[in-house]
Amino acid sequence: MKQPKWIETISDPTEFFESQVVLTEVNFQDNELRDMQTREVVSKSVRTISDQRVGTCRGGYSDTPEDMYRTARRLSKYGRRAAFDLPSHSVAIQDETIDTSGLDQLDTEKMIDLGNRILRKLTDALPDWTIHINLRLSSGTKHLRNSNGIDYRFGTKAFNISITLGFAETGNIIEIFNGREFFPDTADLEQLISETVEYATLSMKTADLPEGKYPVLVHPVALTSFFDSLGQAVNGKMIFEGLSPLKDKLFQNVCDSSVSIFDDPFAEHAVRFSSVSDEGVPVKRRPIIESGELKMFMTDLDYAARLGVEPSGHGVKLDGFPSGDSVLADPMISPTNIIMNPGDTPLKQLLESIRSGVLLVQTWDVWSGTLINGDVSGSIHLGFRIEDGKLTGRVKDMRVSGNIYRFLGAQLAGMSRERPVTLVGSVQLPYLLFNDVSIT
Amino acid sequence: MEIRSESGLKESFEFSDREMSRMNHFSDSGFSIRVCYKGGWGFSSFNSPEKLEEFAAETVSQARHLAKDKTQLAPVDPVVDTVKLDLIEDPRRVSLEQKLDLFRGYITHCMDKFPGLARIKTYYFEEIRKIDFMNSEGADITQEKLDLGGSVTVFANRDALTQSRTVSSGSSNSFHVIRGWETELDKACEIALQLLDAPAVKGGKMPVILDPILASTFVHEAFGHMSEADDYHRNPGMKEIFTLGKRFGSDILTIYDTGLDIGSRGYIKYDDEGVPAEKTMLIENGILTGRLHSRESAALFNEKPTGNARTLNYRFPPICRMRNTCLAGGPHSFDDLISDIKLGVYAVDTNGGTGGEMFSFDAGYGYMIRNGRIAELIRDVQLSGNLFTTLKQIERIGKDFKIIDDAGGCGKGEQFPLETGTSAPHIFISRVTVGGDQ
Repeated sequence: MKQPKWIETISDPTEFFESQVVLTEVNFQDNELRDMQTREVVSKSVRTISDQRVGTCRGGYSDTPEDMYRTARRLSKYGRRAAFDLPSHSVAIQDETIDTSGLDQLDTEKMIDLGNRILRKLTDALPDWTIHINLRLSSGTKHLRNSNGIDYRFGTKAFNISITLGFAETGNIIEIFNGREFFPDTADLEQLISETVEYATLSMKTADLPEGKYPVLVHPVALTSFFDSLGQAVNGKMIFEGLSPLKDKLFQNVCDSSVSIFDDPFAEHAVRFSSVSDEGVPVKRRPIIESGELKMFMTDLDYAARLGVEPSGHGVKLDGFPSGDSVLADPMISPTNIIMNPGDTPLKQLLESIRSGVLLVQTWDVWSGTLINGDVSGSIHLGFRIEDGKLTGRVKDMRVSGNIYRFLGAQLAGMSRERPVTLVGSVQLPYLLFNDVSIT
Repeated sequence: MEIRSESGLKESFEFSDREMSRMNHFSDSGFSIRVCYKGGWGFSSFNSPEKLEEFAAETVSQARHLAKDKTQLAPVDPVVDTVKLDLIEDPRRVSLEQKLDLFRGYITHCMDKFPGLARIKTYYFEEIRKIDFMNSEGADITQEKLDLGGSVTVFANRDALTQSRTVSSGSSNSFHVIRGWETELDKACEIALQLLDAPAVKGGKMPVILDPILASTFVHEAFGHMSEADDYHRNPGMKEIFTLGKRFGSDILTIYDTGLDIGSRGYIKYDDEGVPAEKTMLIENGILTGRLHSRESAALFNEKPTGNARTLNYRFPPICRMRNTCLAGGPHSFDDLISDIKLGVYAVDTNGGTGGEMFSFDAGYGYMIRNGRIAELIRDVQLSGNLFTTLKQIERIGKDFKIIDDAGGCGKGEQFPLETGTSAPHIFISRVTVGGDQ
């Protein structure tokens, strides 16, 4: 594709990034169809390196690349020293459009119909519950150009369903989340409904649990919260700044040898990421931890250069694309799909092995605290007491605490062979069983 | 029908130690249209003014498509007004170089005085927006808004342990809140380093004193979000729980939400439906007396709107949000709060938290309380509990009421970070779950 003239006249290494996103939402609130929303967002950013300093500018629809470049150049005198070069035109792919033919015919009528079907099934099974459903169709294009000849355009669509169930009576307020990051077929829909109903039904009975240490079987959704801590620790920025506990642990064992975790932009049944990062770096499936050994840090161009490593392609300018909001000029470091190898043990067997413990399905507030240390502590938002291998009631007003490295190390007691589809499409994890977890 | 147009410029920068790590200059503009027709809502947002008619038609079509019975919105006299910025120290008159030098000064101060620190990160932002709002009832309001804030976070690190403390401030009318942080920074640096040697708190249930920052976080997260009436205006179970006149706490407990504190980040003159802001009492002397409303939730509750319908920006529809949420001061000195505690925790500052029936928040650090006195420093102090139980267990309230404006923001759904404020004094809670290994 021929470069626009303005970028040819620029002597400074410069990249220009633009996204155009259209979001269509249908919202059901308190068991009825409430609103429809359409959002169209145009967002742009420029990053330039002038006199070896980085200057950036972000803008919207009415901002021209030329004006944004001039602003970025003006601000570069205050910017940090550039440790990196922009990638050159070595990228074979220029236009990448994902096959989203399954979503091309989707319109608001079909979304309303799907929402109504979900609502009917849930209200039939759970007449005393209030149900919110958000259905979102996102369609977007992102376009990266740089003065080294990269001109890469990526287009895709995505569909999300989020379900929030609520039950309230004095002394008992329950909230359950579920969903999918794809348009479900009949079997998927039945699975989504049945597991939602199962959790809601189970949660109506509460079970006492004295404070203490227990084996805890952790659902993949709850594990996602715990893994945020790990994500921070392998972030190249945290490594460079000396704040990560893993900074000196590359190619060393950091957890049990049964643990293997990959970052995979092309994982099956997960979110499909672009083949090139938002900085123009080709991406691929990479091990983060393999058989317990730390294999990589996630980097963008800048922190890869500072650390003296090859960039891993994790510089993201629009998180959550194609549902993203505004593009960043300086990227953030963010994973693609996080995929953990499953174990060999059926979930049923793991559950039946627990004489007295907890099934932790959803946590709350794990994100606060000093995550970088690996310390995780959060409320049990949805969890069930396990007694002699059976779920006997919802655990209420309790908190789980621990450290992710100990959880994945000495406290790791089992790993399921099942890796269920969950409301977080970019994460595929088995259930994990941890011993001696502190519950207060 | 409502139409909103907005344009704004946000500038920010971040240092990591003495190096600039990020600088942003972000201009944005756009429009939104919201239509309610017989109870059905349509909303659209877009950037191009040429698409105004197209999106107006689409939004009307959405609302008509979802029409049910009738539109229910609490009546409000339409306001015609222009609200200009009225600033004490205008950040636009402070040059970028001066702002950078101010934060470089803070970094140098910390690095020179506390060479054991691992890293210092700073953040500053200022955003000025112009918002035009009109509705089909005749409201026509133009508002200029400033939101600014800054923070310095110091990190101490040893082996695999990292501890941090943050000094932060924000304002809706003056740059001066960003100046003069040296004394607070000294304390933050000392604490961060001391926390490396501090033990982690042992988990359990015990009496706790919250400092004003943490107490105000508790009020915001644990109770404030539950007061946002649009979350439950059609939920009979929640409406029953939050029946006005019910006792939620002892006679000493008063909580309110106000948009009237000029200069606070939670200050607004009109909300994003054109409703004048007010001081809304939520709990008075322990009794639930109010809620935070949009026009729709107010109508459904048959109450009056409170000026709490807010949107992050033009891209989103307004929803019920807080402004400056306050736990009113009481009669007690700090000695009154602590003197009869045999074993407890004094929890200080906050790293954030979340609410719900079970709330959870993370203190910045704490001290054990032993036999009525402050004892050893402790780290990793995470507190949680049942909201309704805990409100009743607030047994003493300090007289040192303080408005807290930091550089953070509130999240609800996708709309994050919205500028809000919080205020509280020290409070004593007789029993709270403290997280940690037992």
